[in-house]
Amino acid sequence: MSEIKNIISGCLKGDRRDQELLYRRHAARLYAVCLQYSGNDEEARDILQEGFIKIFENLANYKYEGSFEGWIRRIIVNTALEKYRARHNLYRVDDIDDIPELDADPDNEDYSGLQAVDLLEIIRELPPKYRMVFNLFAIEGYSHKEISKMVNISEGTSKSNLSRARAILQRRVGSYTGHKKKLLNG
Amino acid sequence: MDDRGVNIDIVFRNGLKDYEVLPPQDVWSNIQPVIRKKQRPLVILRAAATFAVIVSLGIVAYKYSMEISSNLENPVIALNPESVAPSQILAYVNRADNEISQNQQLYSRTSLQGNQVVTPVNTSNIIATVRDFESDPGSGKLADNTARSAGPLALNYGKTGYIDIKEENSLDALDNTSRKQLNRWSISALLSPTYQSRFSSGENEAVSQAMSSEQMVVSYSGGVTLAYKISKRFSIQSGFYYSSIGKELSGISAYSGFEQFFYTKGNPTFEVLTSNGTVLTNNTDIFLTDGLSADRIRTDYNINIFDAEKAGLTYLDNSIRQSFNYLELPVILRYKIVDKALDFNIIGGLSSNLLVNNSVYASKGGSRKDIGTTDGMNLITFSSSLGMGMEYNFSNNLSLNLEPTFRYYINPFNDIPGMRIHPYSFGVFSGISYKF
Repeated sequence: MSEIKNIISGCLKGDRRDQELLYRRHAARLYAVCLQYSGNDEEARDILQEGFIKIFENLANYKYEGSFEGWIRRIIVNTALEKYRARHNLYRVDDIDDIPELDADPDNEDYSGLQAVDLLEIIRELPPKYRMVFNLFAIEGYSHKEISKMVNISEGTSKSNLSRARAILQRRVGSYTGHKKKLLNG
Repeated sequence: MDDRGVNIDIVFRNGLKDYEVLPPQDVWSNIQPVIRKKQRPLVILRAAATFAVIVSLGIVAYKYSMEISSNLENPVIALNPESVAPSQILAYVNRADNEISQNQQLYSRTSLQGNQVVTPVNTSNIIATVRDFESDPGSGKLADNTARSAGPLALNYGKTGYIDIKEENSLDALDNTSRKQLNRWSISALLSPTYQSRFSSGENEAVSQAMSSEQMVVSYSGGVTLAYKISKRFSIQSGFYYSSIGKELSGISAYSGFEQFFYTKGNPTFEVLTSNGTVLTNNTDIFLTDGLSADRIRTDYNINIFDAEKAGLTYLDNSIRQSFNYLELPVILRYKIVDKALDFNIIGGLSSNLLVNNSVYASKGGSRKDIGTTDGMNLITFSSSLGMGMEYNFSNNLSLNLEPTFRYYINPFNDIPGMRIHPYSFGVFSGISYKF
């Protein structure tokens, strides 16, 4: 039996050591995902907490098909999505109609100076609606059709939100790299 | 825009692909109780089932003893007229419930040199062979058919009766087997799994928090005792018991392989606050980190300074165990409340307990890695015990014992500032006794 099967088996028997081991192995990676889907640390912590409770509750349903990492990540993303849906009415999409698209060609932009922590900060600054669509499309790989059902919006809105998210990200990545260059050049 | 969009997607996808951020320490401590609570019904169910089994066994044992006693207490005594002591009473079983009134006082009548002596007979442990009788305590006359009656006879007397028989060979054969001997000494070997917990009073916030992450584990206690029967019902007992008491400190992850790192950064000692005192590590190869609380471990190596996973240390366990072994010298008093084939005793006593082993360890795959010791443990503690003993006698010399016992530690294992913590335990001792 593989190590992960051993750990899952222990968790299903209620072995606290295996439960904590499973948590510690995946918590850091999944917390980064939670931060990616949330605007503040408290929300990210809630997603991680609720997500892990679901993971433990649903472990018996894991069929060892596909990677375990992928399975638990989907649970975390779904938890983030549920939280988003619950708070949807509370979110106000910023008026970004006037956000200009950048002239810079991203293909020629040098993003090498951007660290993961910078990217995370940038993505978290997105309005929730755009952040959610961008994450689901660009990071998780869902189609607009799937996203429309998940977020309960039309495909057109999904595309539009993605487009706006990208525009904001490009602008912020650009300003970020520009700012960094300035810092480096003194 | 599409290509540029795709490009920005890739920047974020690749940039965040393997990114990790350590979550706040308290997340796991919030998850743990929820998933444990969901499992608790099963634990309660098991405990209830165990309790039900013990109670059922107790009831069955009690009913069985009552059945035996009702058989024995049904009337009838046969006496050997040549005997000079009740111990020579012979035995037999017969019942004629419809004609024999219960709880009758029976007397033995001995005849010595023409003088008849009437003595009350204790019927509790006697099986009697009966012949017919007709007598009056005053007259001392026996029925004419006393010696001639064959087989068991139903007795019919409404008042105190006297029984007499002629000595018969067939009864002599029973004499040796049914005679009750009084063995004053007995040696017993007993063993019990014990469940430990504690009573606590006073306030110490740090210790109270530490206690919430501690689980008592099932321990064991066993030993050999020698008992002396002071009277028919009282006996005093002493001997040696060896007991193990354990406690699991949850949420503290232990890693090995730390030796190659510690010397560069400082003192490798870890201090872990527990309700039994402070654990001090003495194994420099062990690294400890607490996933539940930031206050329980004092060390130069907190999680911001040293990451065991990234350093590639070998993960051992996510809890460590405190283990204490005691040599106990009990002085126990027993009072027999039911004296039948299945005896019932009330047991009470005091023990002085000498700490003979104090260790803290982590285990992985059945192997145990010593970490250190608990500082400041009291070398001698005293405990009181109260229990109910059931003793099934196989023969005059051998018996099987079952003794549910509650034990309370009079003084704490360690002196905790602001708090008094008195452990207690419950165990069901079982074993055998040899009487001589």
